Amino acid sequence: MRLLIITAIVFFSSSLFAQNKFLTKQANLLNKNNDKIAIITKGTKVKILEKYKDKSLVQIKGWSYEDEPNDEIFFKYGVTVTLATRNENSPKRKIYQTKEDDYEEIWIENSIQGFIMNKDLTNNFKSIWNDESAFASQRCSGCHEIPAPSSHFAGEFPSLINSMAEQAGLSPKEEKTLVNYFQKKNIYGKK
Amino acid sequence: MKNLSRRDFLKSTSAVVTLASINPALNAMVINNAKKILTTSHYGAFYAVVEDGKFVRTIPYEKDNHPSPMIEAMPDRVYTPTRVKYPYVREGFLKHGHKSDTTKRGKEKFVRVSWDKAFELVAKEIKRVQKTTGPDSIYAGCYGWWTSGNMHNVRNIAQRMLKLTGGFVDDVNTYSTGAIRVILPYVTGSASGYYKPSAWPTVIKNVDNLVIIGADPYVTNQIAWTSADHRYYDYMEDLKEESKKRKINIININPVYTETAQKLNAKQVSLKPGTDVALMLGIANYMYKNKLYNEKFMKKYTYGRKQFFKYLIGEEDNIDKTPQWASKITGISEKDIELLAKLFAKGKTTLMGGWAIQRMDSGEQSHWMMVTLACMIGQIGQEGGGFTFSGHYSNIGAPAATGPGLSAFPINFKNTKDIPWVNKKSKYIPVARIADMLLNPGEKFDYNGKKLTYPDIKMIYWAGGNPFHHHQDVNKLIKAWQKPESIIFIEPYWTASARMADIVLPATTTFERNDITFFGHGSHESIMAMKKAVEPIAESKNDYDIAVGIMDKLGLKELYTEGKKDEMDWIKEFYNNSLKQAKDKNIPMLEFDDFWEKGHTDFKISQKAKNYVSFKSFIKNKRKNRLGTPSGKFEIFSKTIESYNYDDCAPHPKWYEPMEYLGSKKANKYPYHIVSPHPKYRLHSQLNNTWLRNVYEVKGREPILINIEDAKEKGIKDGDVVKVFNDRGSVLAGAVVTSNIRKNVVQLCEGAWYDPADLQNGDTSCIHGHVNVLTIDKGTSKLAQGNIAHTALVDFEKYTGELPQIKVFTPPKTI
Repeated sequence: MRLLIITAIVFFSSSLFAQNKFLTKQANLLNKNNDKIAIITKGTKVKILEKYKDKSLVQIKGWSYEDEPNDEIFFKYGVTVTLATRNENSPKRKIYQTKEDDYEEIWIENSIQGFIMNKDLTNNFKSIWNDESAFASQRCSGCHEIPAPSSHFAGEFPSLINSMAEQAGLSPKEEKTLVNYFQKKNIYGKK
Repeated sequence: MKNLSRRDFLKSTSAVVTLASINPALNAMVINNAKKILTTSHYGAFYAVVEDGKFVRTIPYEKDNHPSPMIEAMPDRVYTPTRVKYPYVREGFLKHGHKSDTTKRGKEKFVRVSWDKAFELVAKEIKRVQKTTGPDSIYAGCYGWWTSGNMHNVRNIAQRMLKLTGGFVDDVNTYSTGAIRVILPYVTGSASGYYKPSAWPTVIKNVDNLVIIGADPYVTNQIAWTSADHRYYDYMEDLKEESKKRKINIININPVYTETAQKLNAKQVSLKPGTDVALMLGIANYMYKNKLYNEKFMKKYTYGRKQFFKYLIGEEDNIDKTPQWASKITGISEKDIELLAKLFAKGKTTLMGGWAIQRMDSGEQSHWMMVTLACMIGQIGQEGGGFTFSGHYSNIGAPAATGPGLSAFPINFKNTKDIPWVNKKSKYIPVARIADMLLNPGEKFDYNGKKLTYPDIKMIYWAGGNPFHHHQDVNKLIKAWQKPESIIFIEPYWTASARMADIVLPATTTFERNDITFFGHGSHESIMAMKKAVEPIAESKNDYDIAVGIMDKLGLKELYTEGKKDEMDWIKEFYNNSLKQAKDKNIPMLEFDDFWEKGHTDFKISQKAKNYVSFKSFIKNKRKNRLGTPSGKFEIFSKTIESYNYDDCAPHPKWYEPMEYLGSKKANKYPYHIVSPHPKYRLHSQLNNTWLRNVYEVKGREPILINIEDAKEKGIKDGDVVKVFNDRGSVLAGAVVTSNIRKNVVQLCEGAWYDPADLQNGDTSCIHGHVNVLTIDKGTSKLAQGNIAHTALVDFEKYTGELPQIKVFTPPKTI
């Protein structure tokens, strides 16, 4: 009975505490020794596992190619919106399930945990995109109206934006910024 | 004016010299007193020579190695008698407003009004419609190629204005690329094959077989969306040089032996129009059965080959798509089809597809099949291999310079806190469905996996475009045009569309205002100033100032202009945005004043850009550089399209019989297929109202190419006027008898100004040769709903009646 009560309390408190936040900028995921274990892209939704004074322990869950263990974690199998990119310091990935998609590609659902500074986290997803929105408006609207992020398949944005990068004078970094903006709005924004 | 015969002109080796000899403006020029102003246009850059305040001639820009002869007609763009000089209102509309008799459009006189009255009328009408039926009843047409300037981007100017007044119905896609833009994202993950092909230097160095399918780049690369640099012609010179060193097969798949084919001495594959997919299926079938295709490439980089191959060999429909099968449909011999298959598999093969073949019934299939064939050849991502779908357009394929982007007049608003309605997403239609929209309000239709509903349009606002030129089946459009309560046109010329409007506001031409654009649509090698050369003609105003005048009446001027004084404030802002980007990236660029003085600021082209090969990164690492398709690969079978369950667009490339073609039953009644490509001396219908038409017209009519044998059978000689007709209408055209076109095919280029015989009395036949009187207004399929201008059958006969006088180049009656 005592065990049940303790378990219930732990479960209750953790579920009460567990919440999702979004990264306000691209940030490093750190382990307890402050080593960088992954890069988390701007706008990625993370699950807060524990909150401390300056930082939070977070979890990023997504999908990766089965045979590329030290690679990216994507939003969904087949939807390659990058949430996190592992590096050589990354811990072994925690695997939840394996799935073969409609195109004979095998994916694994996995997650990574680490610390993120609290100042880089927000509840307000909409508020973090003002710069990108202005940038898209300035650089894209010369030729066309800015498309609704939901108007394309999320995986389409890298090649779509790349095809117009020269026209818009985008540097590789700016191209990446725009891709991330449209993709994140696509997957988390209102459909 | 000297009358130069068309034959004399075409015999000439230097078009510019020949044109200069018949340009009346040139004779009047006094070089020493003239002012030279560097400017640019869709047709290329040049110096506008201005004498005593008058634009008298042009001098080619020294950085353009192949100036288009069309620049010689620029002064006539300003001084043509067809200019709209004052604001006008149709008589009935002035009396009765939106309750006027709309069947009188194009028939009633126009009444001249003051600008103040015109602004008031337009503002009042916009306000009325926004208040009564709302933004979903205002169609902002504004579709067209009017200007290349980033400032006077008429579509943006008009749409920003309508957005601020409450919103509007928009359109998507283009008449040029209706099908390809929609199908390619399903197949290649984006329209990147369309925007960014391999650079010409790497193609030329490596290609063995350059296969031009349904394109005539020598003609169409004369113009560009921004400003033509004509680099294509430089590269074709390189191609000719390269082909002296080694054998390069240039193959022209087209019912017409085009100017490009002639210039490049191409081998001709003269197929029946609309049968390209069948031809490619026949080639694919032979490659598959003879194991000439690249199975490894297909397996690694494509999805859906198994499903497609089942169709290819008849397991799906019991029709084996053999060369024999394809031969019956296309008119190309079985042996030639087999030869093409062997040739494609042997060397480095680039399939260079134009857009004509997707402006056909089931137009989505042609480029899907071309990608599929390129995958079977298996050279995508390699130098000299793969496909390109824009080598004919805007000189794309020229390596791009490393430079900044250039902003344009914004549709959007920076701060929308106090005007939240501007963020409302517009309802839209696929652009080529305008007549269906006007005729069928409330009707549901399919488009690209969605069910849309045609809005009930009460008002059309159109700046810088001519739907009575570019839309198919003019007679249907005339009926549709009577539906809205008000039609407003902002336009420099009395086009057929302006004549069919209720209010016409006179806009300036490019040469009467300041602007800015890129020189080189593909290369972006310079940002160029488009300096005002002469004062506005009569009471014409800049598009921007017209919008500001309307906004002023509505009390929205400050919001619209963002407090800016005039066009130069915007131009400086656009330029300085670019300058900031350049500085951030250490790209040398002039300060604004120096730029404006010099007229251009130039950027360098890197070796990397010259070596660019499309899809190379994907081939190198197909995961890191996944395509944007659901599979991340080229999709020869699309599960997404399959999920739409369309009866006219299968989930893999498929041959569909077009509703009209030389193999259809209708060919018994109308045995000639009419094709309507881009004209050599116009940009669509632009420049038809200049002296340049004297170069190519036959007895004042648009020329129609007729095969020698067909002409002989009908007793028609070169220079005769012929009547071309079908169930949809008829036109008069001038016969040009030639062996450069397939038998049973005629060519009447798009863009002759529509000149109805007697609109007052219901005779809508065109006495001038406007091809869209004869074409079909139907969507390519439920997927893209693009236009099918190249799918039409006709008959023709020698015209023996008295030739009616051309009226369309004389302004309409005004009071």
